[in-house]
Amino acid sequence: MTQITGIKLNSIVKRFGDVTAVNNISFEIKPGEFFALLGPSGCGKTTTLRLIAGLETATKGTILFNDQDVTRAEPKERDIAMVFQDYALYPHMTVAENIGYPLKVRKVNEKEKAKKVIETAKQFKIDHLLDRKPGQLSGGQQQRVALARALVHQPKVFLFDEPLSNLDARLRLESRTFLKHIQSKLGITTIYVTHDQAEALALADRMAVLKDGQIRQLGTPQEIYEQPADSFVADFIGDPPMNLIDCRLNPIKGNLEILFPGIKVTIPEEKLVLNKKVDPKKDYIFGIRPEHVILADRKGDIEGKVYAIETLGSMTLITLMVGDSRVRVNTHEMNLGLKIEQEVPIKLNYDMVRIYEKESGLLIK
Amino acid sequence: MQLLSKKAAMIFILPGLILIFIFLIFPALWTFFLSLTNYSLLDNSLEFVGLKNFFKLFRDQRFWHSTIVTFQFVIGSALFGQTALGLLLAVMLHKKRGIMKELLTNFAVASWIIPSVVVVYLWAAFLDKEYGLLNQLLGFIGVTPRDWLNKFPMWVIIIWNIWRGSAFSMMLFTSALQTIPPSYLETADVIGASRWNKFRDILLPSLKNYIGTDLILITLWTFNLFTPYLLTKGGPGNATEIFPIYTYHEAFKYMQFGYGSAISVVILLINLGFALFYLRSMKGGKQ
Repeated sequence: MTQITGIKLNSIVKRFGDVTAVNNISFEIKPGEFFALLGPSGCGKTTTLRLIAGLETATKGTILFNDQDVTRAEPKERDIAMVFQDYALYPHMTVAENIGYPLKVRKVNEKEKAKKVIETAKQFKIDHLLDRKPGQLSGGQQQRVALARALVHQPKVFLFDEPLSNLDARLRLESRTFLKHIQSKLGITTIYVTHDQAEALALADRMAVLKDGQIRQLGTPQEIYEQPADSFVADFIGDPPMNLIDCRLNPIKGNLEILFPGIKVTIPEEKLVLNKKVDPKKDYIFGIRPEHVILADRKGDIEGKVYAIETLGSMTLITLMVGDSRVRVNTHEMNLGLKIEQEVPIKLNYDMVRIYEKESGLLIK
Repeated sequence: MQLLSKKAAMIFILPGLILIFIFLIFPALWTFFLSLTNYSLLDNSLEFVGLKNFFKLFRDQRFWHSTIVTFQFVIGSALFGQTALGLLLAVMLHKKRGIMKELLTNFAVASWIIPSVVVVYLWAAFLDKEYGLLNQLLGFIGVTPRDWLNKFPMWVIIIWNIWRGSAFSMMLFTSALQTIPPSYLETADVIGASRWNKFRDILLPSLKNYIGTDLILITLWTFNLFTPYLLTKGGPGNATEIFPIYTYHEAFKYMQFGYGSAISVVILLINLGFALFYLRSMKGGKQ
């Protein structure tokens, strides 16, 4: 079966004229890993993928496949497969011809080609479509054909450039599950580019969050979700997003005063241990995920006023006004009997509170 | 939504229709009518002769000679020349940047937009036996001077027309190539397709309809091109007497308008045949 490949990027820089698309990126992808590159548009994630594919050449740095330097190697020397956002199925070829094309290029004989095409098509449950042209297929079917074509010659590395963004919401979910299944089953090293944080969290074993051509955080989805390394990542990851509220911090005699816009909370210092001495003159960002804000029965940490209640099916999203800030609360309880403008006490799970420096965006708890 | 009543619409397009009728349809019908007469300026005759002109035409050695020469000219300069060279240039320059591309594009377009008369005199000067630049250049590498226009007249007009017209095909194919999603070729790169694979399996099928359109236009233009007359006058002898020049000679040199018209009608039918053939083969590939 396919040989498993690990990938290493060392201080990769890619410039297009004056524009630096990728600015000194290093990371390592373990053999067989599902690795996601996540970030907003223009962050350099697609360029990074194209560098790994060999469709672009790095300005600086090296790329290794299993300790073999491929920085300047042609795409075809890298034994990879790539699925593009538009699938790039050839409209004048039938499904069978599309799937068989990598074999045709490799001059595999007709008999073996036909056998492999049918085998792969069966694996993707598209063997009844082999005589059709791509134009006659649904979006989901087209995607499966693209996957089949990519996998038919058993590549060592599988690259995806936003392969789900052309599908509608329901199909996207279905295809996501299918992708995850196929990748786990085949165990091919996979790199997946997306701007959709939910997709990255759902699929990846590990992921990198990129912005402005640099990696902001690298880790497992859980690490990144629970402990976003800076305020950008905190804001980018999670749906509904993390509550991020500007505040000042003021340590007074064993207590910590948190001054939110329009409201002040005082807590014992040991409840919120910071890894840096606080400066009362500096601005900070107080971050807490909606599920870690808890509606209290009687006495809470703070009072909030109900601003809106949205039922999301499996949970309820409540937006409160706390002081002058909006705070989202996520709860699984359905019938809360809350009314708009009603005062509610809330508790904060201080273990899960993250504090960032406003200026640098750095995590200090 | 109906913006105009049918009547008002008719009034707006009427001037155009009248002009088309006067300058296109009427002359065509008039030509067709003349082809059935013995109209001649020499003896001022105008009598209906039926298909006599056509029977005469098909027995005329010069007509058959002209047919062969015309097909040589069209196939050589239009099909293999302009279309193939234009496609080759467009594909070679696709996704390329830099000074070479700019230079090549500009030269090709310049040769296309310079007025015919100027171009022809430039070429005549270039090919001149005594003082021509070509012979001088070839002299440097030891080739003896030749009388290109008289010794290789067919080659001269074919190469001249390739040089003259390839820019059009190149530009048409360049914009056609831009409609092909880059991911098609990148997927092929990743798969490991060779240049030839990419050209044959991806670019050529994607360009099929553009090639058809280009062939229709180029073939018809070349069929009806009179400019070679300025280079060779159809000669020496009648070596380069392509259809338009043959027609011109019959109608205006020998003043046989009826006979000339018959030739025009035959040319028209041949053109029509070509256009229908291309259109049909384009349709076949669309499925």
